[in-house]
Amino acid sequence: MRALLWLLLAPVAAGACPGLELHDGWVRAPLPGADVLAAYGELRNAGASVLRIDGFGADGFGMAMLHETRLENGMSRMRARDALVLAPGKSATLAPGGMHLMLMQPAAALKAGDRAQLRFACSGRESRFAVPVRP
Amino acid sequence: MRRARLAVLLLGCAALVAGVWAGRHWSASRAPELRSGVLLQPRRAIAEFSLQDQDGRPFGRERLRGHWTLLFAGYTHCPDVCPATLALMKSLQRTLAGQGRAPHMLFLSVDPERDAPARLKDYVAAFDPAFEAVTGPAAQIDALCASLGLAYARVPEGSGYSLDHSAALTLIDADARVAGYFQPPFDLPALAADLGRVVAGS
Repeated sequence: MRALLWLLLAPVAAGACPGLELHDGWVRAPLPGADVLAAYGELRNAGASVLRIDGFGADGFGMAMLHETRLENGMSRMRARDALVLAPGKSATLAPGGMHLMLMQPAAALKAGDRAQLRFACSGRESRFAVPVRP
Repeated sequence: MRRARLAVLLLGCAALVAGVWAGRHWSASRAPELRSGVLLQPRRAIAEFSLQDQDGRPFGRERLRGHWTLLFAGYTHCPDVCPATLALMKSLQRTLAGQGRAPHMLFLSVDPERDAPARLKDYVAAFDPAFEAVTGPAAQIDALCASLGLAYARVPEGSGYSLDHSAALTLIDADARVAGYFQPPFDLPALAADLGRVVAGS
């Protein structure tokens, strides 16, 4: 975990995750008092090699984790996931009620209309995507 | 205490399963088929309970009488499912208000430790100032959940915790009885049509 944090904070990244794309990304605008936000979008591997995304972050947030909401026996359960593996040509959808990036420990309150910078790390590389904040 | 809580949760689960089964059984044989949920037959009375609303006023069974209520149980630190469900309730209300068939929308926080009434007030008002929210002592939340057939459980996470909670919307009639349940994935048009029909038929 400490190593991961170091990785995310490393000033010189070794370039972006090859072929990683984020489509229709967005962060749900925080509700009053909310200090935990969710980010969504479709992550796509447009590259030629398998991507293992195992680091997650967002500028202005102390911590981000990949979470998945699962519906089991009528219960909504939220659980952390360590990594997301995307084969070439494959995509994974982060959407309400399913997988989402959970953003924690905000340094400042975001509001609708702002943009957030999401970060995804894979094998020492990091991709960044600017996404809108909206209700 | 922990054992008692677990028993309440298990009872809640059993009640929900029984309720869903009864609803399915009934709807298959006699009721107009709902597209997005199940109705209970007979409807199940809710036992007395004592909670507080978003203004800190007492909220018991009497507050459920005289109008239909659609209830969702969650917590404000829930980043994904709860805002999505409350946004859906807002859309539902907008759709049904024009027909004069919108139920009261009620958010039950199962996280009283972090969700004080003032916090709940701001939270639900962000969706609609007419939305109400209730919470209170765990024992009272458990009592209401048992009546409703809902369950929740606290899950440690890092230095804090999250909560597993029933994903259903519970429909309560004007006599404070559980009338039915709607389960995700929610489809707004189907849900609105079902709710409008049930509320109109009273």
